[in-house]
Amino acid sequence: MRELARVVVTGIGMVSPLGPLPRFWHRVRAGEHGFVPIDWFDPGPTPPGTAARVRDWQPKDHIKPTSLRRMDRFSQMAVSACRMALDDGALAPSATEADAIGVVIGCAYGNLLETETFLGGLIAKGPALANPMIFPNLVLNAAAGYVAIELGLRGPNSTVCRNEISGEAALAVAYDTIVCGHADVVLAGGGDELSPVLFHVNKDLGVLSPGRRRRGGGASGREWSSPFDRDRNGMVMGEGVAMLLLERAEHARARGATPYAELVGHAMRSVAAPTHLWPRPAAVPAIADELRRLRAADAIDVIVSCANSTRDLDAFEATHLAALLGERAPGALVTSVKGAIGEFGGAGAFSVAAAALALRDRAVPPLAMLRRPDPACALRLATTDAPPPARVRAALVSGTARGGACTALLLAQP
Amino acid sequence: MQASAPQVVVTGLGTVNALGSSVAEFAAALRAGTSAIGPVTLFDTKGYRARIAAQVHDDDAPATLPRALRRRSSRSDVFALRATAEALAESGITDAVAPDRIGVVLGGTTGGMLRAEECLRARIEGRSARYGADPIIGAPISVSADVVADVFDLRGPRLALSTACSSSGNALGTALDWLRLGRVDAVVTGGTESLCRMTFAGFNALHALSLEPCRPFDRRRAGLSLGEGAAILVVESATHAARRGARAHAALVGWGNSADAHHLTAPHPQGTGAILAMTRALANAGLQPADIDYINAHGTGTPLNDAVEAAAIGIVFGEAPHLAVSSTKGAVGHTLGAAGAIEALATILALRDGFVPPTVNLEEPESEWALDLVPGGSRDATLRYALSNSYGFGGNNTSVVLGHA
Repeated sequence: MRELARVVVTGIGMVSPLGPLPRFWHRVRAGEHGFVPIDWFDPGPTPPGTAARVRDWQPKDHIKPTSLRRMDRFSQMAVSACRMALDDGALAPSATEADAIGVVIGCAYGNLLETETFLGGLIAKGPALANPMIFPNLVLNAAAGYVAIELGLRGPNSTVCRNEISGEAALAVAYDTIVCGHADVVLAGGGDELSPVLFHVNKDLGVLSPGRRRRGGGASGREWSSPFDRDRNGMVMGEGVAMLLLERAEHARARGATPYAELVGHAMRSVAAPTHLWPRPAAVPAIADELRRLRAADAIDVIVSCANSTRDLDAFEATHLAALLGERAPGALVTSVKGAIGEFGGAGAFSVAAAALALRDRAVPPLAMLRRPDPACALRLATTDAPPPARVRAALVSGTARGGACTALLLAQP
Repeated sequence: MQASAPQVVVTGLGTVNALGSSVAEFAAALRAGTSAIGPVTLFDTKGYRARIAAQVHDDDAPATLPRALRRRSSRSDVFALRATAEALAESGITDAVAPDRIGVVLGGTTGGMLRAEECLRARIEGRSARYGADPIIGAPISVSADVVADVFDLRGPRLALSTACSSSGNALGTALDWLRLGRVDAVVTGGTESLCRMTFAGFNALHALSLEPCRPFDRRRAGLSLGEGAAILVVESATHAARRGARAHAALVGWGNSADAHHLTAPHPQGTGAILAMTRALANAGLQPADIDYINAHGTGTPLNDAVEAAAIGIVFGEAPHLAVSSTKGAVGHTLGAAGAIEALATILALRDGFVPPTVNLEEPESEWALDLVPGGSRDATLRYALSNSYGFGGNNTSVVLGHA
């Protein structure tokens, strides 16, 4: 196949349960997490009742008051993260340049809070009193639309929905957007917001952790997220938005930008799974052939997995990654950010951000809550006492969603 | 696009919409100039100003669908499954290509919302205490793609795109990118959408629904008429199709997208985004404006959209005497997330069968440009290339260019 354009990551912006970028990276490396008891809605009388909520974020620092009034909270997160990514990448586009800059946001649900408000009003009061002000905000691409409006960006604009791997998928679509020649610069990433209904749906589905098991039975009542732990018993929900500034490498070089990493490419495949559950470990996505074609596929030193502390997903990831990389990268150190920020629609965008930061700083965030690694997992896990990697040449971001869609994104030293 | 990129053709077509339950029925109705807009019976429309839409009445799930899936599948999923079954059967692609090499990318905006509304109502009225696995505010829009992939065992890349009313236009474009990059051998692409109270109430509250069947580009146009359905295309590279002796209906030759960066619902008054999307699509296809003989317009029937879109077309294409511009929304309604796919299908049929679909319900054309807006019935025409426009909330604009295989 012909030579594709090279794509680099030149900026990162985020609104997260661990704060904006510098604090997120410091805290996640220090093994901190963002889980707090839910006191902003009723989580129900029994555990789980914990989630990771965004903090250290003032929308008005990033969005002018006239715009802020109209905008839903998820869109506010996305616009804030995009502004921070442009600032971080030191890109202040002229109006002409902005006409060509694209936006790709991945989210599973988007503006759930106003959707619940709108539907609740419609059901309780009837259609005559439906609120025309918030209806436009309910489309999944409202956030990407607001980003375009606030930052004046008229390039290709898309919103990708792929359950829990919407963030990874958005970055894959953005990569294709650049190598197909649709744009030189794309803001890409994703996220979701936590809402009462979504929390209760997952609680009723039984996928949330009821808390660390106590000696002699029973749960502590304080949920914990410990990917790849032998005793893991469910995920904790989180929220936030991370956006990455992707550029054609020559474009970045011409303006003197210093990249965090190169986004070398990606592979997307899927396996059979029920729409609301993760695939069984026996299922193997045919990602290996696609991955092998990518430059630096033989130099993977770090894997940022989507493992989220559920029995099913972590078992699938352990099997799938061992099969994918067992021979190629037996020493690769495996981590996940879900133990720090929880699980949500675009959480994978944080995995990609963590991979880019790991490449820049040659550092790997630990699986901080991991006490007893799952003996069924043959991977080299980034426990808190694992020695840091000697080198970080390339990092793989692995994502698997309920329903069975899988992604692998490869990042490398620029 | 690069000269080395492969040509991409459409080898399977499928649809369920208010005009027809198959591609043949849809093609016949388009040509006859029928309108499928009528009273909504899917839910109670008491309290709404507008009470009409292009509802699908033949809405049974496929008989072959396993019972567990039938129970779980939303109305949108059912439309997608039926359209995919038709498209796959015709293309024969699943016999020719490994499951890993077939991608799925669909557009949609509300997915299982119709059932989510019922679940939420049960909870609000105290009839149900649990949210359970079904109640589908908990089911994202990507579920339709999952159900299609599950039923037909397709294991390539699998995505949903949701950019409001341009969703499935973007899905088609993404499928084209995948094939040009050689990521897969074939893609099942398109869109699906079902009517639901949320969108009906929302557009009703915005005063965007017409009380009578919509009249795109008409002086008396007073809003849009909602619709529902699905259209699915099987696309693959031309060499791949030729090698396996598949019939190609048309070629997918280019696409372009833009954001207005102006307002979440109102189009840019100068049509900036629409112009960018059309010019990007032409450049991506390697074509000039003069190469286009037919435009399937977004043409919703709202006062603002039609004025801005007609002007944008005028600016890009001039008053070319060979150019016909029509909207099929007077016939099949505005199917939101499925509109890009259903209208691309209409455009493919126009190219393949040699006719221009009419703008149904258009009696008094209104445009500052002298455009042929095709009132008064379809007509035979040999078309070289055609363009399909889809514009959505968020200021999202997509244009897809189609040609002969």
